[in-house]
Amino acid sequence: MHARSVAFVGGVIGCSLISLVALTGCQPPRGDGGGRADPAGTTRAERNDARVTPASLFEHSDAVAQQLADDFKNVPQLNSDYRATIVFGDIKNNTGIVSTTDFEAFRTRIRQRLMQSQNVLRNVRFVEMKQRIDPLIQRETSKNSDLLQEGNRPERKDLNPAYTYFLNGEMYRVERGGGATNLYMMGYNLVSMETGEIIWENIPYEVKQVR
Amino acid sequence: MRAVIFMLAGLLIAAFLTGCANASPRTTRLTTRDLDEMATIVALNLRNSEWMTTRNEQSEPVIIAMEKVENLTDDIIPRGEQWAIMTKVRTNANMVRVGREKAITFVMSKDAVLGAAERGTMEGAEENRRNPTHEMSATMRNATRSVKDARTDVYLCEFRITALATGELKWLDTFEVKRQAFGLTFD
Repeated sequence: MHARSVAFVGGVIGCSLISLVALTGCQPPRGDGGGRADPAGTTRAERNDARVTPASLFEHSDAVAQQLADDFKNVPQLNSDYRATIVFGDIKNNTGIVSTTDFEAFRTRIRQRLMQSQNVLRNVRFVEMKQRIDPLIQRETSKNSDLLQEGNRPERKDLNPAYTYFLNGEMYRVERGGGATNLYMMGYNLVSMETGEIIWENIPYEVKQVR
Repeated sequence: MRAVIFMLAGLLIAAFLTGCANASPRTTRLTTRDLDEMATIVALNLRNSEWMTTRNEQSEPVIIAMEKVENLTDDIIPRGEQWAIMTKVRTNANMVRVGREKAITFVMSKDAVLGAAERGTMEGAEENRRNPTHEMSATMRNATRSVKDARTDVYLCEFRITALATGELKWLDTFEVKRQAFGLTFD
């Protein structure tokens, strides 16, 4: 009889503990189960978001870098006696819902991929945008000069328009079914600073996302 | 006997669940471990870069001034942390070796010089005798995707060394990491 009582009390305590755990534990704390994810994979949040998935942006940036590296030999302007200069240009973001910062982040990835190729660097150099480099040069080389004085502002050496090309991007979205289906079209091109001519364009990248 | 087993089972489950909950990340923010890994990988990539392999101790000296990380993410990264990330890279063992073997020196940041000049703790700091030839900087960006109780952030951190005279990028590397976290649907 005594043993039965002990078993009963023990059982009650055990069940209480389990219930307590269940009540407090069934609401997972924020971040539970989260952590690092495969950059190339697609998470639940990404799958259910109408914006273009980072996996597509990764794929697109890889494809652009690969194609540009392959096409270098076929673009006469990039195969002359001089090293052509590539500068980041404009990103025309017509998606409506994706931040331009997202595209800018992956554009830097294209540049990084290209800068790993010696074939590319033989023919091309990458130069920082004027709006970023000029304040930098001014800050680092100003010494004690009066910056307000005319002619006292060092600047990046002017780029020769004949040899300089902008890496521009164009992003579009076609939406159907109240946002249930989104078709993204993304592309990059190289545009001559001197003439505005598009000297190279990547094969259009399209991805359709259905939620 | 059964009572003891019940109690032990209850305690085990409690320990397991609370232990797991505490170990799980509760945010998509970069962890200190991510930053450590980033510093090591970036410094190693610089050491193995084409630019570095063409240099040796007798090469024309490169004097690098560092700038704090430019934060273009949704996260608040305090100024101190922005400097800490760059310092992690600069003090990484691979970077130290690059400095010794490839005629590369780092000079105080302009920020530090100006700060010291203001406090008067470094005599002649305002004369700015550093004369950097290059600048090392970084930009952190993220792409956020979220739905109800789930959020994912892809972080792309770009490190670059730029020649000040021409604006030419001498080296560039990106570190990519994706983090996800789950919350409550009524959050």
